[in-house]
Amino acid sequence: MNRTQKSAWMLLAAFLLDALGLAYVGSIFVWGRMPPRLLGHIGAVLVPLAVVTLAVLLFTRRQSRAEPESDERDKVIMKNAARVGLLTGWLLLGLVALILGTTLGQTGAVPVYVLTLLLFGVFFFVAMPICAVATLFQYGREAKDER
Amino acid sequence: MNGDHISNLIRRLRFDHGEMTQQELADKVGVTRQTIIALEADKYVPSLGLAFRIARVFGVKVEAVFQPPD
Repeated sequence: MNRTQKSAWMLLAAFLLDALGLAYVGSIFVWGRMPPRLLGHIGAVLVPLAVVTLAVLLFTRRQSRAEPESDERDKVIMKNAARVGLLTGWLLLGLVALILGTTLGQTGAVPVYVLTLLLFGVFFFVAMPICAVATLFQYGREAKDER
Repeated sequence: MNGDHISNLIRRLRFDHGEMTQQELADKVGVTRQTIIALEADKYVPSLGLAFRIARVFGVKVEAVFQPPD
């Protein structure tokens, strides 16, 4: 596993942790009270610590001293994945704008902060994970462990 | 990865050169082993620079390693 793949896995893990955290905080607004604790005080410290330890181990382990961190093929893969992520992000943004336009009509209004939330939401919670998945998908298509 | 479909003889040349492993070739040309795997599976067309480096490792011309589509 090279650096690009490790980064993609870490991005996906970070996204899942963020999504879990957001769901936890979001449930306060839905239920109107704090949801039951899943981890407890020690778990809340140990879980992020385990993720960081895993990340450090993943990033420092190399198969060969001469092997580069990434090469020209990794750059092509990253470029393709970024393109897919950005395209999906823009398409989703366009779709949301279309839905807002049709539901609210020409005289309807949306608070200014909604656009900011939409932009951040689409690019951090849609484009970036899709970019990570597209990266892993491209690596997944290659032959496995041949000598 | 792209639609050029340039085939190559990297695997055969590796075995002809003392059963060189993919990792050894990767280290010699400065790419990851995964790139060598992708090259041998015809899933990646290398840059001109990488093609020359691979050919140099085997001591042959680029045309002896990579065959363009007919």
